[in-house]
Amino acid sequence: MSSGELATKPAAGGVVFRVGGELWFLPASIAMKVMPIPEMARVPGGPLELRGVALVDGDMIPVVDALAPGPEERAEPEAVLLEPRRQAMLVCAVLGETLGLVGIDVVATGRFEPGELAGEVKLGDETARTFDVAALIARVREGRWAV
Amino acid sequence: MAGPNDKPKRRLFRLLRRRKAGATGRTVVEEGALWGSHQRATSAVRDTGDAAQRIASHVAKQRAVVDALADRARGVSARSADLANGFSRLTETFARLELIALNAGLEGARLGEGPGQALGLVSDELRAQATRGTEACRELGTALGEIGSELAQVHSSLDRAREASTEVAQEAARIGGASADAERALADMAERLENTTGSDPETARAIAEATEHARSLVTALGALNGRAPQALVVTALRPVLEPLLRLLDGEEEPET
Repeated sequence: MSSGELATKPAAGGVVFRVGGELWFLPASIAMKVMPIPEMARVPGGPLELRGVALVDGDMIPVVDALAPGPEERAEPEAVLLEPRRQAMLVCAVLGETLGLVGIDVVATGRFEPGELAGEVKLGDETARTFDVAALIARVREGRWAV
Repeated sequence: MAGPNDKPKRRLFRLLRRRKAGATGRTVVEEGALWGSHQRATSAVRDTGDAAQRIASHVAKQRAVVDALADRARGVSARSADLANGFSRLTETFARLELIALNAGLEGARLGEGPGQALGLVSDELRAQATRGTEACRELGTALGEIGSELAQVHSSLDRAREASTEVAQEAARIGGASADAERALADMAERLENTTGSDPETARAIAEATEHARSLVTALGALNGRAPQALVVTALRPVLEPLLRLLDGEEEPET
């Protein structure tokens, strides 16, 4: 992509966060708000990504851990029962569903310069890719439920 | 008329006559030295007892100071814990403020390039200040933690000081008791010495003084030797020395 193309491309508004050392971006149309991690009720038998459900603005929403390893990375179930590393939860709305994203470190919000590839934004010297919330939801849905 | 000093003087002369008749002068000197040593020992033991009492008194004062310090340190510890709670609340508040700033930034981004820009700027500034506040709180919290650990050491040192002062007080009490025992033993020794030798401290002191004067007289006479005519010296000394010579011979006691 040429510098002329970059200059004409509008800045992307949203939130940039870090998950496991990698920088990710979510547009403002998906990222609703940042809030302290609320009290959660665990869902018995749920997959590891699903940390539980929490009451946010009068709605019960699922809370998903963005850092939870995929099925291929899982070794021992006890080893991946992670406590929240960050104190903030990002509330996202995608495909008509609202969910809370934990295990992230929110770095910045606002408007960001677009990156070279579509869906990428720049934050200083680093580039953030768009986080695939839909894929995470699908992973939770298709994950191994014990019931 | 007999004066208050006559009694020891008579005793001294009796003693001198007795020595002349039987025992050697050396024994008298030894007895004097013995009494002198006894007196020094008595005085030293009395001083030791007094010093032990003073030490006990100082230790009691020191103990009171240490207790007051411990109370102060406890107060500071409690205050430090309160401050730590305050800093914890402050850190939490800054974290919430940071979240508000992030949400303002997100809202600014949602509003778009024009109207959202001001909100974005406010968000950036607010977040920067909140981050600085959080950092400052963290540093202060760390410093407070260090003060807490220092205070713990102060508590432990004060406890050790209290134990040490208790031990010193016990030792001072032991020294006081021992010096009282020693004083009683020395009094008993003095009584036995008096019974055994027939002398007493006052007499011994008078003999020591008389011996000293006699030595001075002999020295003075030695200095006169050859300088003054012997007849003149004898004339001058006879009135003084004759009663003494008579006394030493056991003839009569000189007039007071």
